[in-house]
Amino acid sequence: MRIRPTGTAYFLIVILIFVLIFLTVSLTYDEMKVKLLPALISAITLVLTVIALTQEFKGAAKTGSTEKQVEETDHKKKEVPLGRFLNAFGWFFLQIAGVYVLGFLIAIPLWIFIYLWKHGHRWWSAVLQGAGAVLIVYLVFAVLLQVELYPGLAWQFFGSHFGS
Amino acid sequence: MELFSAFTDALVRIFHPTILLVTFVSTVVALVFGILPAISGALVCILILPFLYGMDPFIGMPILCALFSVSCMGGSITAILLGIPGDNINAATVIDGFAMTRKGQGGRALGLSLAANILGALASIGISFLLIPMIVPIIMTFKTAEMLLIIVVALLFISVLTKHNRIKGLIAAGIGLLLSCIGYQASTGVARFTFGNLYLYEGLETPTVLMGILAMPVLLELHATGSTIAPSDMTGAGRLSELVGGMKELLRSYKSIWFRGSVIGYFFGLLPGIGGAACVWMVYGHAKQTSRHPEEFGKGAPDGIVAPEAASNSAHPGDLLITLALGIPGSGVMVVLLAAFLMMGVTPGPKLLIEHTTLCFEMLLTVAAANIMGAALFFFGAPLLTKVTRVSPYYIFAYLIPLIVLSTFVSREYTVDMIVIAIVSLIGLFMARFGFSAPALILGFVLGKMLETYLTLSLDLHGFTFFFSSPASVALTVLIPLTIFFDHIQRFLGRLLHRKVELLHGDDD
Repeated sequence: MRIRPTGTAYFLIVILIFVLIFLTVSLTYDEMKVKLLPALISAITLVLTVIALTQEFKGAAKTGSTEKQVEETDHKKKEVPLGRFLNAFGWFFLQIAGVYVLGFLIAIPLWIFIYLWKHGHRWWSAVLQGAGAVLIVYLVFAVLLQVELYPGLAWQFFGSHFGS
Repeated sequence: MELFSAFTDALVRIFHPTILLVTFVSTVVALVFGILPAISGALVCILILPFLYGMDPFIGMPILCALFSVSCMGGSITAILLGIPGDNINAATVIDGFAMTRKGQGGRALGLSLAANILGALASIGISFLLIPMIVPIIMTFKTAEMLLIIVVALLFISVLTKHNRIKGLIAAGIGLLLSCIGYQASTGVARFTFGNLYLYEGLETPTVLMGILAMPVLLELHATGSTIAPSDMTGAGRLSELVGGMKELLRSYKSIWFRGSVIGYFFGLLPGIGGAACVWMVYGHAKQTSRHPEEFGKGAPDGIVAPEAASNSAHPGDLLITLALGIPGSGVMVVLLAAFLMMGVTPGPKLLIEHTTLCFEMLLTVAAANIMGAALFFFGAPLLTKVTRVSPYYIFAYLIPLIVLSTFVSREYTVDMIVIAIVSLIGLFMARFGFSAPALILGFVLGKMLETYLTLSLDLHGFTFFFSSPASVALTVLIPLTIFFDHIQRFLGRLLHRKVELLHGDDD
């Protein structure tokens, strides 16, 4: 019988690799004080991950298919396909990328406008909301809290080329 | 008698119109900023520092006391209604508070939180007054070995937080501890796991990890499902009556857990270095472990709100008192307060309690006054705020994503933090999907640095005999297996009791 690993099993394998890296790197340090805690914790976590992985595959072997032995906690989340979560993450990532390139004061209203417009809002309502949000952000963070808001790579590039 | 006259002097002072006004304004500011994610009480206190140079301590202190003690109250509003902790100290409230909101019980959850908060603060201020004469000798009992063992016990509570799969809980805690190892090692200054990257030298920021692991999976789910936070058909939810109901419910049914949460919170507030952020998780674990319905935790258990909320606000007076008494800041916000004390010409330490008793009492009374004012603002503002839970999820996503990105950046103004939150969010998303405990990871991350410091110190001082270095450490060592096997012990005692009852019935027959 062929056992198909679950998402949990794949995630445990990723954890296993992560912990192995920590264990290997921590053993390279000379001083005991430096390596004691990370080596100890990564060794314990490694053992626990192997146990969890074994349990996962044992459970799979019993049921035949790992898809049948999904945990209660996974159940609710499984109702929503992973693709939708990744779509949401894509929007989040778009905001971060926008801030990197255009800076907060342009990326925030632009992102709010595109997001709301794409989700059924009228274009003028989306524009107004984006503008309102950036005004509040500017007043609270730049004026009141004196935070130097990141201007973005594009602004820095054009500033250095055309500024002087 | 001297103590009593100092107390009455302080009481008269805080009712002075200028002090009352200053406290009120600071309370409003703290509540508003507390609602903003990642803008913690500590950050607000830092921002106000330049204005405190040379200020009369009797005016400067109320400002700081109100700012640091009320911000967590604002943080619980977003923790309950939006699933986003306003401050590290509100992180545990998210689990059951937000679950209640999703069931349309946001008003009830806010009522429970408000009552736990205000009663917790007032009770702990009362305890502080009683403890002032004897605080120093009590704290001196807890040395490095005891602190280490307390942290170990706290970490073991994690297994309770994920009862359905303890191994996954412990793995999550292990990852949290490993993430806390990134950056320089405190006692040697050696950079670890930075792979030559200067940014990682300072380690990962706590607000960034908190938002990525706790808040982002919730927001991503809101977008993915497209449904409102609370069921939209529950139009009556969030009324003032519901809030009052929640408050009454605490007094009726959750007195015991509120009391235990307050006492544990206060106790951890007294311990230098532990801080409220770690203590709320310990209290949450304790509440779950001792609850009659542990299976309800995570699905909207009222005790899951009452315990951490009582602890979060009880920790503040303890934290303040220990900073005043020893001059050792108990938490991040107290480091800022310590700096402010020195700027205003006040040197904390045992002498302060003796020579400036009135000032100490004034600070504690200001915390009480600010909490009462904050509670009143919270009470009347909550019905309006609960309406947020029935707003379209796309609106919430549209406004909170930029705010989270911005808050992440604001913490230390590093653009790399935004990349870090993206990675941490992805980890948080997969952890939530595959049943790994997010609180366990957070607790491991928060306690990691302290665990390492106390471990190296204890080994230097006592070797491996630190488990038995004092009666307190022996008691804590005994507590470790009790925590691990609490379930089994409880079941064993239950069976024993059941058998005894059966035997007694048999004798009657």
